[in-house]
Amino acid sequence: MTRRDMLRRCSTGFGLMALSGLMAQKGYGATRPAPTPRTARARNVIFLYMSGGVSHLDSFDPKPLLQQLAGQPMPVKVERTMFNKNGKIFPSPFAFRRHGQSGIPISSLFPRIGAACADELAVIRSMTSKVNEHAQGNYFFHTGFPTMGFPSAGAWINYGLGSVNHDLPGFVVLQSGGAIPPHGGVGLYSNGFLPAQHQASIVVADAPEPVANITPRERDAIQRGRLDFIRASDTAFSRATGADPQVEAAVKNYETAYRMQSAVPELVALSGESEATKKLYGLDDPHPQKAAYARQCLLARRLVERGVRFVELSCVNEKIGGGNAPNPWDQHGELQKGHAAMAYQVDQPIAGLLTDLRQRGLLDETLVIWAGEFGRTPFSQGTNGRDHNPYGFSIWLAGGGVKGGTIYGATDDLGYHVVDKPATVYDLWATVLHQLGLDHDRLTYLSGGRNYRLTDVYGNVLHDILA
Amino acid sequence: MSRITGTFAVITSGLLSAAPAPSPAALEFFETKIRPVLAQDCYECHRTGGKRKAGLALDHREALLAGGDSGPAIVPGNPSASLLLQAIRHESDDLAMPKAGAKLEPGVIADFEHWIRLGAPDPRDTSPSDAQVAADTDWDAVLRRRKNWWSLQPIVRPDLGRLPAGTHPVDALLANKRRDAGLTRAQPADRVTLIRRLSFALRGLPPAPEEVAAFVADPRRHAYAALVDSLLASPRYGERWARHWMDWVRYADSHGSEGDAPIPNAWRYRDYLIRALNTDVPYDQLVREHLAGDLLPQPRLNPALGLNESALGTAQLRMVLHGFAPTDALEELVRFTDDQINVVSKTFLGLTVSCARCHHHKFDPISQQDFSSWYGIFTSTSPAQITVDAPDPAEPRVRAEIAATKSALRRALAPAWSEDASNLPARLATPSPALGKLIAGAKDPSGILHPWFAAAAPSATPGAVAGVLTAWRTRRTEAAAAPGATYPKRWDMTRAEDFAAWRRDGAGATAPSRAGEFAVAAEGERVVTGIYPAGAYSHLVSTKDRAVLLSPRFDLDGKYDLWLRLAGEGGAYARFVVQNYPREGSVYPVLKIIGAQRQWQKLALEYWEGDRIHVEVTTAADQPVLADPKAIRSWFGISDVVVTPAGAPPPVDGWEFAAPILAALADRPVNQPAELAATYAAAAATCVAAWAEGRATDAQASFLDQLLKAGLLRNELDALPAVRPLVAAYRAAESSLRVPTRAPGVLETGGADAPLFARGNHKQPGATVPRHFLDALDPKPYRTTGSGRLALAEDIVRRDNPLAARVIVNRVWHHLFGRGLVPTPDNFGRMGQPPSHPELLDFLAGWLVEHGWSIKALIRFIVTTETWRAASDAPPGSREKDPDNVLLSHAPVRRLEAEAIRDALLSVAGDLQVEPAAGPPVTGEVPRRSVFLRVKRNDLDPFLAAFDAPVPAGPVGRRDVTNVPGQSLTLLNAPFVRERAAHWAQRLEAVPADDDARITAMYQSAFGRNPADEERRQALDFVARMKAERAATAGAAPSPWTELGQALFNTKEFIFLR
Repeated sequence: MTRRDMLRRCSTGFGLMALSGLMAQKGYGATRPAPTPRTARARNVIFLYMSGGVSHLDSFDPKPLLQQLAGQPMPVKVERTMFNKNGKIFPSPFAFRRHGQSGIPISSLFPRIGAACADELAVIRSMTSKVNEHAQGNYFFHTGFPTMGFPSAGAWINYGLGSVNHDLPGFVVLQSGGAIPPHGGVGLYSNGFLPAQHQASIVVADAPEPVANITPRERDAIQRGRLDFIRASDTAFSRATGADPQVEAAVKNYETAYRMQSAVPELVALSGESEATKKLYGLDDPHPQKAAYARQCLLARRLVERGVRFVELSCVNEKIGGGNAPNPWDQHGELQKGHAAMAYQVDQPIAGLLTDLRQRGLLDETLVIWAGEFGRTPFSQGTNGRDHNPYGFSIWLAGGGVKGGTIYGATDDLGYHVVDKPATVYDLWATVLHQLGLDHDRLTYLSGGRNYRLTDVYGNVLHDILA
Repeated sequence: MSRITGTFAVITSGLLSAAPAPSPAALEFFETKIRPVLAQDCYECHRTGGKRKAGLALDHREALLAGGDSGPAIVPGNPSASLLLQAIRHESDDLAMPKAGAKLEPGVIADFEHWIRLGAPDPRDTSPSDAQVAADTDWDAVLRRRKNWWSLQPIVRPDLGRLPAGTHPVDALLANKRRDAGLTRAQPADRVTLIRRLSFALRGLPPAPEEVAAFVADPRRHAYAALVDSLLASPRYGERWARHWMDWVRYADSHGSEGDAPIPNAWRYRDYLIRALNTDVPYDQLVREHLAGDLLPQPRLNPALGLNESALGTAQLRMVLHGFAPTDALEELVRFTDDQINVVSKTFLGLTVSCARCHHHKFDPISQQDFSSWYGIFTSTSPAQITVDAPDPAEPRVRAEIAATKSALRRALAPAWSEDASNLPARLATPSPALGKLIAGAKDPSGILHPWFAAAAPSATPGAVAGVLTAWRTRRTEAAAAPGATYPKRWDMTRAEDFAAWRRDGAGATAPSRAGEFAVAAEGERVVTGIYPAGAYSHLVSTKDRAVLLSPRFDLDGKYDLWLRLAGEGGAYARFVVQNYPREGSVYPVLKIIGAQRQWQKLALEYWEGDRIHVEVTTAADQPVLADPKAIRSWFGISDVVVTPAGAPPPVDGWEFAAPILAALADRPVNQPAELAATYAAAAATCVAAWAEGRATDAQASFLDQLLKAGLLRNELDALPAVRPLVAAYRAAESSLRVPTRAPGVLETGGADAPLFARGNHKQPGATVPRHFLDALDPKPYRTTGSGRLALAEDIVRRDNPLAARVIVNRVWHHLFGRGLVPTPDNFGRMGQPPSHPELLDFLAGWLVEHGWSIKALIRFIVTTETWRAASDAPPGSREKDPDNVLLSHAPVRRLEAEAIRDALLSVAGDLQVEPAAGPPVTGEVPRRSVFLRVKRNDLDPFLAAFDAPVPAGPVGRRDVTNVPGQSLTLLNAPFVRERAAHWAQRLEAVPADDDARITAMYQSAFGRNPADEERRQALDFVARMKAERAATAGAAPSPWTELGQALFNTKEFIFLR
C-alpha cells in the first residue's frame, strides 16, 4: 500500500466511507456500494412518519359504503385484530372533498395539505404491511424486516449515495415537543450491519443540547488548547504506530467533531429564517405540539438544503385514545378527537414544508414520504376507536419526480383489504431508491453469509406514480 | 512466451474440437468436475429455453462455444482468454459469476482452467432434458459436491518436522508463510508495551503502574510466562472473556419490540460464563451445557454457590427477540426458533443453518431438512424459568421431616377439632363479635354462614333458611348432571394419569394430593392456612416451592373456551400459551390467580382457532417472561381443566362444602338456624373423624376448610398448646428449605419431528423430517423420546466433527490478534473467507482437543508465541506486500472495544468498583465493569453503542470497528468522561506532589509508561495554561489536572493498543 493509498483510506468524516467501514466490509468479501447513480430524479428524502397508524378511512381513502352500513356487523370475515374488541361498522366522522385540479379526495383532517398541495401528491391507497403490531410494523417499514438488527432505509440510502456535507450526518432523525422514537426504539434508525457512519443522528430541535454531547463543556479557547495538546500527543503516537491508518482516521475524526459543535447549533437556531417563513410552517401557533412539529418541518428543509440525504420527522404526542409518545396516532378509542388533534398538529407544518420546498425549487429533488406503519379498521374498536389494519391503507409521496395528483391502487368498498394494485413496503423503498438513482436489486450488503437488501428478495418500482 | 503457448493451445484446441472423440479420461474429467458445477451453479440463468441471461446458454457444447452477447464463453485451450474463466475468477466487478452467489471454490476454478486448457472436452451435443437437469442438480449430488468444502474435511495435523529447540510450533507455521512472502518478523515488543497489550487482551483493563514496574524489573527467565499465568488467574479474566462469549450468543436482558419485556434472571447466565471461564471449564463441556445443560446425566455442580452450573448454559436459548402480541403466533414461533438455530449453528459450528429455512442452502451443504430437524429439536421444548440449584443432600430428609410433622400435626389437631365440633351449636347460638362480623358479611350463598345471614336479613321470611338449603341441594344436583366426560377436552388433575400427562417441574409439582391435605402457615399466629379438596397443590410442603405445570399441546380445531378450577395466592399465574409465545399482550391474556378458595375461571380461546396451544400454570417467579424474580412465596392449586365449545354453559361449581351438611340433615326440614347448628355439629364431627384418619372426601375437606376460615375450628397457636411444638418444628424445617434459584431455560415437552415448510411458508407444512444432526455430517435420525438437544450437543463436540474445534480456536485467535485465521468467525461456509493459515488452524484445533479443550491453555499457548509478543513496527516490505498484515509480520494496532475503553476510564480514574463481581445488571453511571451493564434491547447503553458494542440480534464473532464523530464527541463532552477526569484529578490532588511528579503519575496510569521529555514539556505547558485560565476566571475553570486527565483520555494512545 502506498502512502497515497493510505491517506485516501484515512479520510474520514461523513462524506467518505470511514476506513473502519472499509475494513469491516473487506472481511466479508467484495461488497461495495452501488455505482454512482446515473438516473437520479431526487437527491434527498424527507420521511414524515405518522407513528401509531393513521386511519386511511378518515384521511385519503373515502368509503361511502361505510355510511350506509353504519352500525352493522362486518359483512365479510374479520381477520384477527390486535385487541379483539371488534365492534360494528364505523363510518368516518370526517367529510371528504376533492382538492386541486386533480380532484384528489382528502378529508377535513388535512385542509391545508388539500388546499396547497393536492396536485403534488401521489396517494397510494393500496399499501399493505406484513405485521399488525407497532414495533414490528415500525421495523418492517423502516428496514424491510420486522425485527431489530437491520439497516434503516435512511442508512441504506446514505450507504448507496454517500453524503455531501462533511459537517453533518447524512441521516438525521428530528424530534421536538417531547417526541420519542416509535415502539422498537432507536434501533429503528440503526445502520444495522452497514458501516456505522450511516446510522441516524437524532437532533432534538428544541433541546438545549440538540445532539448528544455536542455542547462543549468549556470555553472554546480551553477546548482548542486541549485539542492542541491531544493533537501533539497523537502525532507522536501515530508515528509510533507507523502512521497506522486507523489511528490517523481517528485523529481526523476530532476535526469533524469539532466542526459539528458549531454546525449543529447554527442549524437548529433557525438563524436567517424570516418571520414569514416561520409563520408559513406554523411555528407561531399557540398549540405547542403544532409549533413543535412545525420546527421539525422547517429544520427538515434546512437539512435538505445542506445536503443531508435522509431526514425523518417524529410526531408529537397528543395523549388521546390510546395514542402515546411512541405511537401518537394510535386511536384505539376516541378516534375523532385524537385524529383531529394529530392532524391539526401536522397539517399546516407539512403544507408549509411542501410549499416552501416548491418555492425554493427544492421539491423536485426532494422526495417527501408520508406514511404510518398501518391503517385502521373500518369497524370500531369498542365504540369509537379503530384497531390496526395492515391489509390495506394509504400513504402518499410528493416531489422528487413523483407524478402529482395521482391515486394508485384501491381497497375494497369497506376499505378493509386491497383489491387493486397491492403495494408493499418493499415496493415503496424500491421506488424511492429508483428515484434516487439506485437499483434496489443491486444495493446489497453481505452480512452473516447472505447478501441483504432493503427490499429483501421482493420489491417492484411503482412506475405508475412516477412522472 | 505465454503468447506463444497461447497460440499453440488455440491450434491444439482447434484440433481437439475438430476431433469428435476426446479421450475417456478427459470426458471423465468433464463429467465429474465440470458438468455438476455447470448444472448446479449456472443453468438456472443460462439454459437454452430458460432465462438465458445475456443471451448465453451453457447447457450444451455448441451454445457454450457460440457464447452470448459478450462473445464466446470460452476459447478452448486458452483459459486466460476465456470470458467464462474471467467471470468465475471475478476478475472484473461487472462480470462476476455466479451472480449474487459465493465465488466458486479455488479448486473448482482450477478445474475449469484445466478443462479449458484441455480444449474443453464436452460430450453434450444437445441441450439437456428437464429430467437430465433434475438429475444433475439433484440435491444429493449437490450435497455430495459441497461436502468437499474445506471446513468439513477432517482435521489434519501438519507435519512440523523437527523444530529447533525453543521454537514455538505456532511461530514455525507462521514463519513458513512469511518466508514464502519474503517477509521477516518485527523485533520483540518492549516490556511496557507487552504488559499493556497482555493486560487488555486477558483482563480488558490497563495494567497498574506497579504491575508494569514489577514486570519491567522482573529478572526471572520466565517473567513473561509468570505474568501470563497471573493474569489468567485473575478474576478479571473471566469478565473480559465472558463478554466475548456474550457477543457470540447475542446476550440481552430484554426481549425487544414493544414493551421490551425483561428476560428475568438473564444475568445469571452472564455470571455463569464468568465463573466457567475463570475456572477453565473445558470448551466441549460448555457447548453441551449451552444446548442441554439441564439434561446432562452428571451436571457440573458448584457446591460453594449451591448451583447446578450446567443447567445455566441453556439460558442462551432464551436470549431471542420476541415480538409483541403477534396475531400470527406460528410465524413468531418460526422466527424465534430460527433465531435459536442461527445462534447455535453459527456460534458453535460456523454454519448458517438458518439460511436453509425456505430452501436448501444456496452455497453450503445444508439442506432444508436440516433446518426442519433443528426446528423440531428446539420446538420440542417450552420457554421457562428453570431451577438451577444443585441438589441439596439434606433436602429429602427435611421434606420427610415436614411430612412426618404434618402427620403429627393432624393427629394433634383432630381431638381439638372434635371438641370444637361439639361446641358448634353454642358458638353459633351466641356468636363472638368476630363471628358476628363474618355472618354479617356472608352474602355469598356458597358459604356455610349464609343461612345465618339470610335468617338475620331485614327482609327475611320464615322460610329463609330452608330456602338456602334448597338452593344448595339444587346446585348439588346440577353439578352432578354436568356433562363431564363429554367435554371436548378435560384433565382431572386429581387423577394420577391426567396429572402425569402434563409436563411438571419444581418441588411443588410432584403429584396430585388427596382430599384433606392441608398447608401450614410459615409464620404468624395461625396454624393451618387451608384444608383442600383433591388436586395439584404447590405448597403442601412450602410456599417457597416452585411449580410449573404444562398441559400437552393441542390444536384448536374450532371455537372453544378454556375453564380452569384454581386457587392460589402470592401472584401465581395461569394462562394458555399459543405456539410457545411466552409474553403477555392484548390477545395473550393471563390470569393472576387470586383467592384461596378454588373457583372456575375462564379464558376464551375463540380468537386462536387454528393454532396450537397448551395450558401453563406456575408459581409467581416461574413464568418464562412474566416472572417476578423478587417473589419468594406463592402457591396455586388446580383440580380441573376443561375445554368447552365457545359459549357453552360453564362448568358448575358444585358447592361441595354443602354435601356433609345436607347428608347430616338427611331430609329433615329445617326452619331455624339453631336446628342447622346441630346438624353442622354432627357433620363436623364426622368430617374431623374422617380427616384424622386421612379418608376425608373433597366435600368434607371443603366443609372443614370453611369451618376453619369461619373460626369455628381452633387455628390459633395460643388456643392449641399441644400443637405449638409441632408448628415450631415445621417452621424450623421449612425455613431450612432454600428459595429456589431460577434462571431462563427451557423445559422438555416431548420430542416431536417438525414438518418441512414449503418455501419457508409456515402455513404450508409438508412432510415431517426426522430430527438429526446435519445431512452433511450425519443424517442418522435421533432415537430419543426427548427433544434431541443432548444428542445435538454431543454431535457438535464429537471428535469426527472438525468444525467445533476449528471454530473456537479461530474465535480465540480473533480476540487475541484482532483478526481470525478465518476472518469471518461466524461463517466457515462459502460466503465466509477461507483460512489464511489452514495448517495452523488445524494444528491449533488438534492441539486444543489434545489439551482437554482448555481455553486458558489455548490462550497461554498463543500469547507465548514470539509472533504475539512482537512489536507493532512493520518490518521492511510488509506494508507493501501485506498491507492487511495477514501474515503477522508485526503486531496489529487495534482500537480497544467499547467495554475496555469504559473500564479503562474507570480504572485510571480510580473509580472502578470490581466488587460485586456478579449479580443483577446496573446502568451505565454505576462505576462497575461494563460486562455488568444492563443490555436492554430498546435502550442500549449509549457510551458502549458509540464504540461499536454489538446490537444483540444475532451472533457477532467480529465486531465492527468504526470511526464516527459521535466517538470523539463522547470522549470530549460526555459527562461520564468529564466526571472520570474530575475524580482522577481529585485523587491526584489529595496527595501533595509537584507538577512534574503528577504528570509522570498520570502517564503511568493512563499508558503504563513515563512521559517522553517532549511530552513532559507539553504537559507542563498545558497545565500552566490551565492554571492561568483558572486564575483568570477566579477559580471558575476546572482543575488543570481535570483538564489534563480529560486530554489524556482523548489521546489515541488511550484507546489504541500497540
